[in-house]
Amino acid sequence: MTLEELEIGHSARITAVGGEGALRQHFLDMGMIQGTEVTLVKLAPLGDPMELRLHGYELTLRREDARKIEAEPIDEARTEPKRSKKNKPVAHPGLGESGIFHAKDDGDPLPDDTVLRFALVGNQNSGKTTLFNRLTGANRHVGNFPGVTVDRKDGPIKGRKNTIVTDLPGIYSMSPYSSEEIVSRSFVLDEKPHAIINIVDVTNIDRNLYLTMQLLEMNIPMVIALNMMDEFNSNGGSVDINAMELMLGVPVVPISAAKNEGIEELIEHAVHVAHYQERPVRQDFCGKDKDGGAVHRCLHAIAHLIEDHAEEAGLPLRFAASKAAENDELVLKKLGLEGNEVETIEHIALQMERERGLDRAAAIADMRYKYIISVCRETVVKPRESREHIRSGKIDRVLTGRFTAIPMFILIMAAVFFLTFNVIGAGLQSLLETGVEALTSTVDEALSRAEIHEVLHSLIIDGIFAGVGSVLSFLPIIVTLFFFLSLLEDSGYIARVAFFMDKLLRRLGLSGRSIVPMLIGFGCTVPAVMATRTLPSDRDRKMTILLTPFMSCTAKLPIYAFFVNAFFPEKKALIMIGLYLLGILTGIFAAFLYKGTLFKGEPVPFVMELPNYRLPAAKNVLRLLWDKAKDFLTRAFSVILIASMAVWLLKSFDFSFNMVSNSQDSMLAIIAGGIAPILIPLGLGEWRITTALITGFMAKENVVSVLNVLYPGDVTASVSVLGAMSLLVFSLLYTPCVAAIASVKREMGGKWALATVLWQCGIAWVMALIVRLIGMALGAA
Amino acid sequence: MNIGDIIIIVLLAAAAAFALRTVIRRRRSGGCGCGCEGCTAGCDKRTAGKKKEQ
Repeated sequence: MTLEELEIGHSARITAVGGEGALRQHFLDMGMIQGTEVTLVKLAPLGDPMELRLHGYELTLRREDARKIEAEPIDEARTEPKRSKKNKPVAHPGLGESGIFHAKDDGDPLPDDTVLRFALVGNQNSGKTTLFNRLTGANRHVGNFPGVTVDRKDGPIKGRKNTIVTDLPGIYSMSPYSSEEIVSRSFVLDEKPHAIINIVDVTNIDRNLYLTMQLLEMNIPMVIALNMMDEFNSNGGSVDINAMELMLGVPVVPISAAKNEGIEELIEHAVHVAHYQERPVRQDFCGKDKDGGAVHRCLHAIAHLIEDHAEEAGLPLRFAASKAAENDELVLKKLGLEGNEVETIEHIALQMERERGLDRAAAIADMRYKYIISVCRETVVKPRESREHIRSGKIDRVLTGRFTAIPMFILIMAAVFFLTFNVIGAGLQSLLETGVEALTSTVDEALSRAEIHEVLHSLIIDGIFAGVGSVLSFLPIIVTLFFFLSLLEDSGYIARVAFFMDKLLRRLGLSGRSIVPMLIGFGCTVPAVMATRTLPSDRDRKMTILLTPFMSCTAKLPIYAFFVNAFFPEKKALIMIGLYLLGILTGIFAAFLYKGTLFKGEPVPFVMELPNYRLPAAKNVLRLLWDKAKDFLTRAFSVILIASMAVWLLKSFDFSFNMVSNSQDSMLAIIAGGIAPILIPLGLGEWRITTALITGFMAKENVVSVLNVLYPGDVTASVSVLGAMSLLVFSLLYTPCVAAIASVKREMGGKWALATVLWQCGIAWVMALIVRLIGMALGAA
Repeated sequence: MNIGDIIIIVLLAAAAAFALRTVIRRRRSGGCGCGCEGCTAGCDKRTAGKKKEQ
């Protein structure tokens, strides 16, 4: 049978892993190797993908990929992990401390002024960024889904001079699968840090140690940080740290990054191994007696063969040998082997495959996992099913249940928007609006009393206060929306959305993972574009990047709120939700178009880990809100302030720098009037609207501030209801702001960035025209 | 033009200069500064600088 045929709640043992290339390697790296027990937890509401449990964690897999994995049924999966027998106590090996390799203050240390560089490496969602924040005192954002960190970040360790620790995106193995994983592998391989801090999620230790095994092969001084020990212990688990340290040959430090436990000890050990360059005691885990010794002989034979090349290429020998055996093209290229040597490696690997009865990748993965199992058997007492896992199961029965998942998703998103636009955000907004109005009138009176020159008076009140003040009042709505998005992200729900939306998104030519950047896009397009780095295929990445601008970002909220309040105060929520839906529907249309033209082909397989639900940390959420509020205020008092002043200047003076009594004669009217005819078919041929839309390219909030400057009275007097509808649709879809375009340029290049600007403007124009024509046909004014 | 006008002009000029400086800095750092620490190619520039220092 294949895994696809497995029934819910039933278990099977894997007998062969099919597939090919990077995907197959990824299967193996995730622990899907011969002999592994797998239980089918559930199917997504639409019948695909499947949620599997293996090595104590949950993994998603599409049915068509599950078809590639052969298995034999077993009666019952081990629900209660077997507990190891109590071993004799092991003396503390003292690795990473003075006394084992050298006496105190002895050894062969690096010069004291060397800046020690540490790489923070671990699986996705293992707590690297939380640990990074602890080590450095930074405030980097953490989340609860795999792949929050998409780029590296450096920082010195708090209180330690001459240290730099680099937080890297999570990886499952040294065979990178997605683009952000390449960042991590390249860092370890090319930048040669003085030491690695390998963070291991102890609640999922089997799979996490797989990366550890590969890191040990790098022959770089290393410390293992066993994270989440608090959760592990509280559920009855324990680790014999001394025995584990002895078996792995590197210091092992139990920590809880979230609770700031064990961090000092970790730093001590990390600095020690880096300073004294204490490398792992062992890197060879193959064993000549294991499974007939075929893998052992293969790896050692290759190691002898390539020793000179590895040295010349600066690659760790053991790592290079295992990668050469696995046929890793990048490593083979770096080694620069001769034809004879390549052929010899191939013969050695073939012989190993014949003797072992497994192909090379599976045999090496199997060798590593067998050693991991022996380490865990000897040193780990696995806990009973954790409270967090039981709780997640219960929540998932509703949130990812067959009949409840999609209705719950719609309900949650509707609640988020309702609370943002109608209850919390809107309530706070009106308070702030009142405050801004009061301040404006106070300043206005004060300026009159002080007999300030009328030009300056007008600049302050009609330019700065009208522009910046109008935008400021939208701060509560934006912060509220980010608050809810942050809750969804930190709780682990977004990973579930990816799971049950996969089948739907596949129809659009995307994988479920694409939903994550798209949901982030409702906050801001820039991090959404960045988040696409977690997608393992270039095709999916590009397609998702091009779709994120259709997800209406928070910066557009002031535009919607401004027009909805002015024109449709009775149908506020309806129009707002309608705009969001229109953005999504246009995105779906664009996805179909891309799928059939620019991005033909199949979406990448959906292999993703589902984390347990966690209660978002208040500190984390508050920090994010503060960051967003700070950014918004910075923008209000920088780009929006400048734009408001510039627009006031241009609309108040003519080309001879005489103040105009009628803004129709101003510089702005003449400049914008040249572009305005393009928008005439949309009913937006007014120069003031053209100006507002152009300034929106710098920052979307500018549209409102500029409209406030240019329409000092009531905007409803100059724009019709149909014009307002048309303008709302145009604003929803036209080019993203310059920061978003810059991020598209960075990810895809200048041509794509330019194409995005033109395409988004084009589609916005067409959609606004359609809305206008429909409105006219229905007899709207 | 009275003393109040002069004070206002100085304050406005300072505010505009400060705002412009913020915009330029942000532009150079490459990100939107929206609190996303994973941002962006600016990091590559900073990293390159650090690499040289080390």
